[in-house]
Amino acid sequence: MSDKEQIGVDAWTPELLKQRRRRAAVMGIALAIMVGMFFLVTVVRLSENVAG
Amino acid sequence: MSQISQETLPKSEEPVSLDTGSATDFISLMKPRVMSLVVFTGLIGLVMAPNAMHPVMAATAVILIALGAGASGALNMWYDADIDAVMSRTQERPVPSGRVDSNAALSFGLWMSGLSVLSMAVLINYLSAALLAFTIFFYAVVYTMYLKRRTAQNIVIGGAAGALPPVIGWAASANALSLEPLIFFAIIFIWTPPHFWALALVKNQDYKTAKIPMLPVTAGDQSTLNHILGYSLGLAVVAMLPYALGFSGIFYAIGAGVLSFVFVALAALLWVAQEPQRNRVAGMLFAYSIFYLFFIFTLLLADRLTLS
Repeated sequence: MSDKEQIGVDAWTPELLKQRRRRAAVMGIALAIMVGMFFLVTVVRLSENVAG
Repeated sequence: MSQISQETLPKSEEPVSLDTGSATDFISLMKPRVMSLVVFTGLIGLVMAPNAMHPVMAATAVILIALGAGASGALNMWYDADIDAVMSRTQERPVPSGRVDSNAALSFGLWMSGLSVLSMAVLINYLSAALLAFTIFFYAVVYTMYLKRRTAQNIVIGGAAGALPPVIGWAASANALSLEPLIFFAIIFIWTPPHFWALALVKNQDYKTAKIPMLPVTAGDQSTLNHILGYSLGLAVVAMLPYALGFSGIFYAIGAGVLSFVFVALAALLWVAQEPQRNRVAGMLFAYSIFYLFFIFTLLLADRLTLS
């Protein structure tokens, strides 16, 4: 059973759903930045080791 | 989310708590204004450290310090929701206003804490990760859960958490500690009490209502004014230590001297101010203290760049 079915469709107004989608998008962007950060730091560390 | 998925709740009778917090609400949980000062001082600590750090590593360290600061802010808002609700300054925060569920704020704070500390350990070094973990623990547990509601020295001792970011920044870059970052720590540590007591004078009624034992509530205005003046004089001395110990040049000494003189002058003005004007001067000192810290650290950086 989905969250929406449990609490009743009426509770999720279009505005709330839109807000929730926006929040998910922000979370996705934040996660992408984290992944990019890990990737870049790995590249920097590898290149430092190669140079060393 | 955990509240929504409790299937045992009878739908028609029990109020259902929707996890409706927006992205902006969750950003507010991280206390962005406090975070900006933390990021700034952390960045200065990082730049002032003797060894050059790769820009990607430096940016990563600063982001992780910001995440850690945000995490402790979220944990603070989760725990303090009851007192935030009765204080005019804080009652519109996401948890007391009901925009973010209390459990969501707690899990957000815990996840962010874990993420920032573990990432710091993996990507930067263990020393900075340990310092970041200690800072979060000290702010969320020692200050928020213990000191804040028990002693008038809450922000004196708790100020250590706010003073650690430049030390973390230094440790991230140098993977070691020395006297210099400890002086940065001391500047923020001594700066914190007059900064918060000036605010507490203005918001005295709020703290009384919330039963928070801030110094003006427990010891009265005159004792608070004495303490503010004493700490301001102490701050003026500590702010000169980077020059006295040879870390900074004359450029910093002159700038810090002028900034500290104004700080002490405002504290003295507050000390002599009578009741109707007192709140206005306290507000001025509070605002100036933020400006002061920002420019003291800017001067440290500018002086170092000039010298180098």
